[in-house]
Amino acid sequence: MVMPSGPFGFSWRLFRFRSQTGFRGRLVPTLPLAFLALFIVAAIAAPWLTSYSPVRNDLINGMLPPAWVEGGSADYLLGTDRFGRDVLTRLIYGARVSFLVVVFSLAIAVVIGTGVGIVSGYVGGRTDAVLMRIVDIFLAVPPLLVALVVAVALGPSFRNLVLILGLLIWPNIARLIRGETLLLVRRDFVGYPRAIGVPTWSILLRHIVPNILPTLLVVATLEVANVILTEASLSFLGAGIPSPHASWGVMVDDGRALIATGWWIALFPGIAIVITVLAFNALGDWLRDRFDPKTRQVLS
Amino acid sequence: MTAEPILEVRDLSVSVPLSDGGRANVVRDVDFSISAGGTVGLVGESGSGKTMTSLAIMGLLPPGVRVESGQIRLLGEDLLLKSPRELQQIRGREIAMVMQDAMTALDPSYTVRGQLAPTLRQHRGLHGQELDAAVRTSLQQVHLPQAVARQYPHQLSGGMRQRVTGAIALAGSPRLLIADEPTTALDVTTQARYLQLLRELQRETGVALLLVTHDLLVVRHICQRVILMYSSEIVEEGPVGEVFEQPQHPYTRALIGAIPVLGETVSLQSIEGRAPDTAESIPGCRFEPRCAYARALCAERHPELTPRDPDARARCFGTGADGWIRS
Amino acid sequence: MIRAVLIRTGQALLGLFALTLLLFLLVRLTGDPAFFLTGPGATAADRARVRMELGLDQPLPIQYVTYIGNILQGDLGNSFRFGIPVSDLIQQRLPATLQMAGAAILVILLVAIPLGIYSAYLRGSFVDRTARFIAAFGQALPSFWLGILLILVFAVNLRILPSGGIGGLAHMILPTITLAVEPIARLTRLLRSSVLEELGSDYVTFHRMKGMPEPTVLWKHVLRNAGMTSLTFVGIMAVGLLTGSVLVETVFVWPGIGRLLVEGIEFRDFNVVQGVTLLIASAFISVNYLVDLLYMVLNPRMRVPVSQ
Repeated sequence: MVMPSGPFGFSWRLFRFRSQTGFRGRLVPTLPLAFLALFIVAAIAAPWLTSYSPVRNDLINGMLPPAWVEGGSADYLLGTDRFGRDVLTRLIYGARVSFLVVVFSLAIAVVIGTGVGIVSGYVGGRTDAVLMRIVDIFLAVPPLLVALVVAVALGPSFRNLVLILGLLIWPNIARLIRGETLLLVRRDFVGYPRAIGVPTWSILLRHIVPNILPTLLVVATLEVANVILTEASLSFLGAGIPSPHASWGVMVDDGRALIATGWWIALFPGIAIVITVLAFNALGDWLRDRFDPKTRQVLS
Repeated sequence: MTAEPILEVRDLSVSVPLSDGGRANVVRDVDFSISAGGTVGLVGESGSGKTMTSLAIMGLLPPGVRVESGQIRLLGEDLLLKSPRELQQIRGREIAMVMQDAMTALDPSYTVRGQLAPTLRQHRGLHGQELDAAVRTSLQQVHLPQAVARQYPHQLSGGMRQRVTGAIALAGSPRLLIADEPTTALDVTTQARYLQLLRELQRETGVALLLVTHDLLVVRHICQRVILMYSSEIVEEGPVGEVFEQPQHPYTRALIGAIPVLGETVSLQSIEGRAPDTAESIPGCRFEPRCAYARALCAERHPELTPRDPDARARCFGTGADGWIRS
Repeated sequence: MIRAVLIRTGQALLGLFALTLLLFLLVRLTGDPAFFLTGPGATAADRARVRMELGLDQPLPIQYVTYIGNILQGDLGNSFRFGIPVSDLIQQRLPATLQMAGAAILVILLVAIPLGIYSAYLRGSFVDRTARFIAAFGQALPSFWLGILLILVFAVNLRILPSGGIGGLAHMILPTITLAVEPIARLTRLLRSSVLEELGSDYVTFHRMKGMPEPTVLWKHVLRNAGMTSLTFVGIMAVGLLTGSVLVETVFVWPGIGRLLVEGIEFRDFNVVQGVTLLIASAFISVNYLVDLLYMVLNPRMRVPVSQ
């Protein structure tokens, strides 16, 4: 058995892309990663990628179809919506919105979830029982519904949305991290230092945390899809990102009434959502497959 | 033994897929036969190919694993040429198998009777009262109390579960029973009783037994002939008494030498080194690196199975006609 | 097993309790409850009256008890928009939602079960790869967008199906499909992995060893064991359809409780929002609970303790 050199020794193996046999082959992870890069670039560099404003009205140019359809113009590649706002621009800014929502809500969820999970798994006993009861209660309620009601009560805003999503996702993370922690706690490289009296924070930091990172990464990646879809649904219903900001969900809502005359307004944001979710799910699955045999190797 | 062979395996090779897309043989040119009512032990360490051989005979190779060449003749008919449907009808009725872990072999959702009765019904065509009687007899045959019929697998002890799988396997009155490591999961006392049961069953039903195991002592206990496999090949074969008295292959010798004997204080001899990866094709003898008697010849040429007298075979230059190994 | 049942029951009750508490606190602590409970068109005098009527000057715990008391009696307050009790509104609209949910469940089971099983059985084949791809796709589709897309294709362009509203069979087709897609994707995946796991177990090999015909092995035994693990999901899924209906009913203007909820939000009809949420969320908790109970009962390992 070879212990990784330093707590992060194993994670560098990620970067050797070996081809997988079977249907997906080299497609994964290159394609999802490429898209992820595109997504992040769009999110961060939005103002530099497009000169149009995503929120300012320009009614003269309203309801223009995409450039390749008759009546469209090359100035507005994917067309404009009812208020003359360029769809492509709003798509890019929408990416930024999704990105920010994902980052912040996951940050909250990961911090709380990992904290609870590790404490629950490490300390065990009654603390574990109590914490898991709380997690069960959270998991027993339908997330979209609660998010909807809370968002309505508190008013739709970015801050509220991020808080709600974070609070809805952490239980799942906590449950999985707890599972991993339980497995780790049984191992000798945790048992020995504990027995000798090494301070808890040291054990947690040097042995537990690095070893739960793979699982955490996989869960977080897979939860991104959840966040994006829930945000889009909430925004669609008017309880997420408030109009006139450009969120993909808001765009679909805008385009809904005009579906007969302005099909492009609702179509493109939906495609963006689907591709983004697929990319993150594919990435998460790939990460899970990559890590599974590796962690077994490291820990066995 | 003049009895007609129940099973004849000729030049059997089985391959598995490799992660790089190629294939490797885990069973190479295996060749042996079992006579009616005979008891043969197939011995080898894990990875030697013995389980794959037994699965190939049953036609139950896992997905991806294939028979590359050879024939498996049961009562004269080549099983490898049969359709899946024909095989399904033969299984249970002509050949049956008992697996290592009876806990996982039994369906957790059904009682013992729930698993025994359908097999009896299917293979013997019994119904109603006759079926009930057959269930009773079946359980009696393996010395299990009738109360067991109503219980679920998780309620039984390891030894009892093993007997249940035995009863189910024999339900169709097969001519050949393959037992794959049946005693590995049992403690020593239960082992002894189980082996005794197997012998008794053989006497009662005349079924031939292929006992696949890594435990030489078990083989010595109840088998008439023994076949030793090493890294996908048969390295020695012969009547049990002779093989134990005068092993014709260094591997067999080493194995026997590694058996602790009650009453003697002797340091345990283990065999240095590890078996080669079955995927590797080696020009010479596969046991050569670990062999105490090896010579240059052994690394260069691959020994074939040659007859040893009177009724045995071995794959070794050293013990052969011009051999240099003395007993 | 009795112990396990009791624990689980306690959990369910705790969940319901937490739910009501959450809603209660939400209203009381995020501003003037009277404001919420009287609607946008009320005057200061109205609100003062409501405050007194509802005892909003009472200490919180007493308010909570009254609140729970009302709920248990079926009093969910009145809708401002329609002026009738919320419970009546729910009764009016619930059948429509149940109708669509029922149809969706049928479709989901009819599609996902064979797909999941054959996907596992024919692992690696074209059927399997296609099914997996479709499942991945189905989970990435936002249901509201899919609904709009279907309307675009079938109602606007092809004009063969209506774009919304309740009516005959034709009106049910698009909403049911939209509602069913994501659960089909998830159930297929779940069944596939459960069946794969079962197919790899020793007992399947043993069944085959006995000479059991393949169809029997597959349908009678593998499905039974794989089905038990999927059972929990089916329960969750069934209730998940209720939340899914919120989006689908909005898109297709289907007069069910999902749309009632959204309308309630739009018009700030808080009693409606609270009432429907309570209903759906408690249905969620209850069904989860029942499914868990069922699982405990069906699993022989739980039914009969391990004796040794």
